[in-house]
Order: sequence, then C-alpha cells, then structure tokens
Amino acid sequence: MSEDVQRHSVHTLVFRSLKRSHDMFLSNQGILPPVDDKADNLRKAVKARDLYGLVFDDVKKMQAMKHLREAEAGPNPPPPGTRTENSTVSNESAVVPYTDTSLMTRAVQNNTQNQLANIVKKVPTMPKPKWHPPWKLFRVIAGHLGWVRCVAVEPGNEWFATGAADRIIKIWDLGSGQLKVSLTGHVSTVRGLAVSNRHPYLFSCGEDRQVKCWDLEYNKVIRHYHGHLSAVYSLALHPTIDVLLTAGRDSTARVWDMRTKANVHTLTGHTHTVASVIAQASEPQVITGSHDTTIRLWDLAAGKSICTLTNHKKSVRDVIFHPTLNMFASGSPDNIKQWKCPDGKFIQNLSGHNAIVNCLAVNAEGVLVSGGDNGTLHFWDWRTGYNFQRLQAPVQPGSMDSEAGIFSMIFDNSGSRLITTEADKTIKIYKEDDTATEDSHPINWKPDILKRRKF
Amino acid sequence: MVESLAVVLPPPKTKNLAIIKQERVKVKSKCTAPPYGERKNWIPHSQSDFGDGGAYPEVILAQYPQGMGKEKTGKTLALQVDQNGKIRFDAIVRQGHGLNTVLHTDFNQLVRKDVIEDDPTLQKPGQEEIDKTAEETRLALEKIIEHKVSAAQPVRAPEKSSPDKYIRFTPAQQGPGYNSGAQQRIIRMVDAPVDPMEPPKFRHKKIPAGPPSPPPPILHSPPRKVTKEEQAAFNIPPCVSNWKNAKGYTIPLEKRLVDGRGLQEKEISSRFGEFTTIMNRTVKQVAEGMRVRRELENELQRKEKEQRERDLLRRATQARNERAGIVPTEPDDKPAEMKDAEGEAEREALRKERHYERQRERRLKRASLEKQKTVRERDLDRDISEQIALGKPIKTNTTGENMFDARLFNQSKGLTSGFGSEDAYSIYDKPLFNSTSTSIYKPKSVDSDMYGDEDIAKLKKHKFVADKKFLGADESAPPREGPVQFEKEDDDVFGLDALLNDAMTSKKDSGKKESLGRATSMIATTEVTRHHSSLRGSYHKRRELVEFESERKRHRH
Repeated sequence: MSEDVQRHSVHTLVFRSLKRSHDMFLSNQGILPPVDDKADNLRKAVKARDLYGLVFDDVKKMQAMKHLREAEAGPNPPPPGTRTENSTVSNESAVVPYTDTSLMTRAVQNNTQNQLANIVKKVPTMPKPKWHPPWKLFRVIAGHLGWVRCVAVEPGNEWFATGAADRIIKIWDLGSGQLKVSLTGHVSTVRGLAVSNRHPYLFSCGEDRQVKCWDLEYNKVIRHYHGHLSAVYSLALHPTIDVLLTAGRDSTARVWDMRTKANVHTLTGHTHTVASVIAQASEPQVITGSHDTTIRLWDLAAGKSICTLTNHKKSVRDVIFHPTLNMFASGSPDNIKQWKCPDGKFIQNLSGHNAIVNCLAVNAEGVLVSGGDNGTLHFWDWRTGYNFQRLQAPVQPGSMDSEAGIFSMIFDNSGSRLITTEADKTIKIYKEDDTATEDSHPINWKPDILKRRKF
Repeated sequence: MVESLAVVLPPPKTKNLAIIKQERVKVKSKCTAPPYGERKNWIPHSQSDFGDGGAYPEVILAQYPQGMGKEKTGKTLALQVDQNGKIRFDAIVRQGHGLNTVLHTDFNQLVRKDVIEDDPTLQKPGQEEIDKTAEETRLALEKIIEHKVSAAQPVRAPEKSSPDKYIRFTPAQQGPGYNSGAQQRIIRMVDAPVDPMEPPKFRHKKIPAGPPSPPPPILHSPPRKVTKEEQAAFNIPPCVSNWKNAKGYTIPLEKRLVDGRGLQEKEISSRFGEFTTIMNRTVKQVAEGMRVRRELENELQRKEKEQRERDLLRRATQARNERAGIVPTEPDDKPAEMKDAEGEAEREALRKERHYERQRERRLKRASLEKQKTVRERDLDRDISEQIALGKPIKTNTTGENMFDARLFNQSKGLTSGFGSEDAYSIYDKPLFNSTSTSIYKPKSVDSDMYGDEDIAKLKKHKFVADKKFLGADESAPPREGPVQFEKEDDDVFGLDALLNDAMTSKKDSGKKESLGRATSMIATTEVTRHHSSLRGSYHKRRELVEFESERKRHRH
C-alpha cells in the first residue's frame, strides 16, 4: 500500500487538481444553470405583484368583459395570428395574467443550447491503454550456424522460413519447431525472406547481391533478379500485383516484375543504405526507411517519391504497417514513431526503448513489439503508446552475453505467436501468458502531462 | 506696431521643400486616363495612368500596373494564400517540388495526436478502392515492362491493323478556287508501315544526372553537440598491424607488439619467505638430529669394536698362555699391539674382502632385480636370423585375415597366377577370340590349277641371288630357319690363344682370310705361317699368325 502512494512535487499536485477540476467543470463552463420552473414561477409572481399589484383587479374586469362580449357576439373565426386554447388556459391558471410567450420560448431555447454544448464540448480525456497479457518465451530453436537474420511465415501458418549468416535458409514447422528443409544456394548471408500469397514461391535476398525466387514444389531456385549493385538488405512482396521490391546498400529500392525478372523501377532518392522496404495495396504503396534518417513514401506507378518524412534523428532500421488501421510505424534508436497513411501525418512517439531498434512487429490486437540490438524486447500498446512489458531473453548456453541481439521478428498469421531471430544463432518463440490477469499485471499508465516533448 | 519678420525680410529665393513635395504629389496623383469608351488610341505610359486600378483590357498592350506580372529576377516569390485565407509561407519550401508531392511544413507534424480507433480516416480503404489502385498501378507497370522486355522478344511481323480510316473533311475556306470547287474532301488515314527488322533510329546517349529534388524540410532539432566524454568514448586508436605496414612507418616495438609483461604486476607472496624459513629450520633440526644419531652410532660401533678387540685379545692371550703355560701377567699393550698389527692387517683385509663381496652381491642383486628378462623377451630381442639359426618358431604379427595378401583375393585368374604390377591391365588374361586373324592372307600351297606352270616356276625362282657370295660361305649348307646360334667353345682355358690372337691381329692383314659368319661355330686355331717377318724383326719369327677359320674349312682341309 505504501508503495502505491507516489511522491510528487507540490507543483505537480496543484496542477493535477487544477486539471481535474477543469475537466470536470469544463463542459458546463459557459452555460447558465438550468432554470427551475417552480422557483422561476414564484419569482415571477412576486415580481409581478410587486410591480403591477395595483392594477390586477382592473385587468380581470376587462378580460371578463371581453369574454361576455364574445359570448354574446357568437363564435367568430379567430383573427389570424391569435394563439390557440393553450394561451387562454394559461391565462386563467397563470399567476401573471399577461403571458409573455417570448419568455417561454427563450427558456426552451436555453435548454436546447445546454444539450448542444454538452455534445460539442466533450471532456478531452486521455485514452486509457488496453490491457494485453504479458508475453513469455516458450520455445528456443537452435539449428543455425550463424546469426539468424530474417524470418518469414507462410500464409497457411504451417511453417516458417529463416535465413542466416551460414548462407542457409531453413524451413521449420511452426507447431513443433522441427526442421523440415534446408535450402542452400546463397553465397553470403541471407538478409531478407518473403513467402508469396499467390504463388508457391519463396523469395530470398542476400549480401551477395542475389535475389532468388525458390519454387517450393521443387525446392529449387527458378529465377534470379539481377541488378543490385551492393548487398540487398530487405525484401517485400506487393499483395495484389505480381511485383517484388528489394532495397539495399546501394541506396536504392528496386521494383522487379516477378515473371519477366525486369527491373521496372529504381526508386532513388535516399542518400544512404535503405534498411527496410514494405508494400501494401492502398496508397502509399511503397514505404522505405533508410540510414539517412528519412522515410520515403513512393508512388509505385510513377516510380517517384511522394513524400519524405524527416522527423527521425537517427537511422530508421525498420518500418511496418498496422494490419487493420491505415497507419504505419517506424523504428529508430531515438524513438518509434507512428504515422498515418496516405500522407504520412505524424501521430505519436513511442519513446523508452533506448537501444538500436532492429525490427518491429504488429499484432491485430494492437500489440507493437520492438526488438533491440542488445536483445531487449519492448511490448507497446499501439493506440496509446504504453509500454506494458520489457523482456530480455537469456542467451543460448554457450553464447556470450554480448551475443544478445534481435535481428528480425514476425507475428504468425494468427497473431498469437511471436517469432524472433537472434544473434546467438537461435530462434525464439514467445506466446502470451494465459495465467496473467489485469490484477496480476496491472497497467501502470503515467502519461507525462507536464512536459510534452514534441520533437 | 509689431511688424512681422516676413515683411522686413526679402522674399525667399527657393520654395519651401514641404510645399514642393506636396505640389509634386498632387501632380502625380492625377490620373490622365480618358474615361471608358474613349480609350481607343490611348496608351498608358506611366504608373499613374493606371490610377489605383488595374490594366485596361481595351488597350492591346502588355500592361504591368504596379509592376504586377513583370518578369522579375526570380528571388522573390509571389505571396500566395490558401483556401482558408492564410498566407502560404511554405511556398518557399515547395519551390522545386511537383504539385503532387506531400510536404510537411506545419508544426502539427510534430504534435502528438490521439489514435481513436473508430476514426473513419484511420480505417483502411475499401476493397473497391484497393482494386482500382491495383489495376491502375498494374497497367502503368505493364507498359514499362513491355517496353523493357520487347527488346529481348523475337522480331515478329507487324500485325495487320485495319488502318483504312476514311474521314470526311469540310475545309473552312470554300469556293470555286479551293479544292477544285468541291465542298468536302475525303481523307484516308493509314498507319505508316513499320519495318520490324529496322535497327533503332536514335542513339541514346547517357547524360549526367540532373540536380536531385530539393531537400525536404527537416522536422527534428539539430543533433546535440557531443560532449568531451562521449567523444572520448568513441575514440578509436589507429590500427598498428602485426603484418602490414603500408606507409612504412617506424613504430616503436612497444606499440607494435602487445607485451603483457609491462602490464603484469609481479606480486611475490610473503609466504615464500615463511616457507623458506620453515624449511631452513626443519633442515637444521633434521641435520642436527642426524648428526647426533650418527655420532651415537659411531660411538656404539667404536665401543663394540673395542669390546670385540679386547675380547679377541683376551682370547688370544688365553690361548697363548694355555699353549705356553705362561701365567697371565699384566697385559703388555705394546708387544701385543705389535703382534696384533699383522693380525689386524689380515683381518682388515679379510673384512674388506668380505665387504667388497657383499657389496658386489648387492649390486648384482639390484641389477638383476631391475630387469629380469624372461625367455620371451629375450627371444623378441633376437635378430630374425638368430631365431632361424636357433630353430625357434617365428611368431608373425599376421593372424587370420592378415595372413593372406589382399591382392590375392578377387582375382579372375586364381591363386597360382601371381602378382601383377599396378598398371597392369589384368582384367582379361586371354584374348576373346583365340583364332588368328582370318583376314590376313596366308597362301597355303601353290595351286597349279590357279596358276600356270610358268608362274609357279617364276614363283619358285630365286631372284635375289648375289653375284659374289661370302668368302668361305658354305653354299651347300641348308638355309637358315632361325637366327644364328652361336656356341662358345672354350678350348682356350688359359687364354693363351686369345693373347696370341691379340698380338697377331695387330698387323694389317687385308689379304688374310677372316672368315666369319657362315660357320656355326668359331674356332680360333693356330696356324704356323712363315710370313713377312723381316719387316717386323726377328722376334716375330717365332710368332705364329693366328687365323680365324671356320671349322668346316678345317674339316675340308
């Protein structure tokens, strides 16, 4: 209990109480208090008697005379503009004989104004982060003989492939973790992998400038895409068009036609290694993150960059799309930033992972994971940017502690398993801890109200 | 009474500046433009002609009221306003970019916004929009791919497009002079024929790439200055290789080699000293003890020896006395000593001998204990020839399989065929077909039916007969069936004949018969011939010429 009481400065406390009261009363600030009918009537009666008390009798006599005259004359059609029976009824019952209708309407208007104001001036509350169960390590697969640099999951969620510095691509069964196939062919480290949704192809790229297309029915290379001038670091497949995107150390991203192996576009503009490239079906179709600290959004049809985002201060090593929202995130050692498609509008910063962020992965449930070069994993809630868990998995026995580092990560297609590939030559698989509840792992959400660092 | 100064003073020669300016201004502000409708031949000359309005559309002249629209030096951008009425300050940044590029110049790009999941702008676009985008992109890419791939595709005959388009054209200028009086014309549009085998018409030259697109605005604070500590942390010392020295620098050895000796702290434990003191002490103690013990032993020995001596002496004197019958008087040491010296010496000698023998025995025993060689070991040490000589059974290392050489196995010939060399082609031991070649013609007999008698005679005639036969050749001898077989007949056991031969054949005997060859054997015979000895001198008289003669000749004679 004593731990829950946090120490704050007086300034903070005062400010907080101010803020809370402000929030509480903000909605009703400019509005008058609601009119109490009874009190209002009483007031009016008092006032009327005070001002016109002397002529009450005369007014009554006059009205009585009018009625008699009308009754004698017979019912005439009422002249245009006269009120209906309500007014006559009110005349009799009301304390004040002369009913000023304008007063009534004004009161009604006031009420409606109140309601409108309530709707418009919503209390600007800070959204509370969604609770996610914590993640834990449940399987370690050791089989590679070098740093495991990349991973890709098959669309049917049966197997996943990993590429490593031992130049071999290994395909593992997702459920059991057993090795199924080893593919050799690359001459140097395999840096990028992608499995196609529409064809039985696996694409791989490496530091030997080769981009290979493997036919999985025969486990053989069927195509080479020749053109990169230097190591190829990243690979992406367009979901709807039969087009392949690769990016590498020659500061370009290249667009290849899958079938004819032609280099359709060379996306130039970056001034340093392009570390990561991703593709989606809607605009912007291609996004690249580079070591020159910029992110570029490209127009795939024209092969030109639409937008350059320069918010990052250090190299951007990974970019990733959210699976359901029209947003993407970029990771760099200073911050992880969230952006909105299609114009790249900045949304928010996720700060706290003070390490070189090598890779990012997003879940359909809104869990963003960032993996660092020192082996740390930070789990964030996408919507609020709340870091709900930090993990550092121990290295494989036999490895040094300095050999901890996460090179790439991916969620499987269901979003329930996280596969990370590491520098101690292992593949680690994480899953959500089922035994945890909101009470056992409470949310410790402290958004900084005072200092809002915008940069 | 008081007169103004102005009256007194003469009038000023120049006018007041303020008044002049006012007048000027008044002059400038006059607009001399004729009113609307009367501007037919009028041209505005100065800015004042425009008044505070704009250009005159009825005057056909390029007008720049207030300088608007004139080509300027380019350093100033026109002020633009966006749809909300706010001035577009980012026009400066947007100068070199296209109209479609998205540039973030607002501070809102830095401000945090909330992610509300139900926000419609945050949802991905619908399937139709995605399909549309995909289709457009695909078509655009297809065009490019087609162009790139067409160079690699084979040349095909051009497809017959239906080119005959006929257009009915009504020209604007009509009349009997134009178009030979016709109102309309019909034009036939045909696609120009393309030669599929034609090489490219234009040479594409590579030009240096133009300037890159202008840099985007940077939306982060400039990087912080590096502190001295951080700089020191990232300081990398220059590399001094153990193998290469490209620039040939002379670098002192301490920098070349990593010598850990200087870095080691050699700490000697204090317990070494303690150890040595303790050891010294114990050694002293032990030495002391040993010395004492040795002394005691020596004492004991001496005493014992003395005792024995005395005993012997006593016994000896007793015996002497008994023999001599002399009553024992006081023992006289000196003569006893004198007598005993010899005995002493003898005994000493004996003792020494025995001691030596004992030592020898001990030595031998030690030696024998060290290595008592068994029979087996002795046999192993023996040379194989000794073993054979002794008739001992030879124990070879090969047992079982190793007894037989692997080359003997798996042979097609069998055990008895023996070894072959490595490259001996020994797959087949005999030829496949045993018959001699039938294609070679071998005449069996001279068939008289085939050939005539003359032919047979010709065949049988020996054409190749020499004029002169060999001297001493035996014609009657049967023709040779095989090579000449030489026999060595050794009558000349002591080599005398050979000697004589050597001596005799040194003369030049051209006339002499030297018959060789035909005979089946060569015999050196001595034949006395008295022959031109006068030339050679008397000593030759007795010498006998030796002639080689065929045996047959001799027989003949």
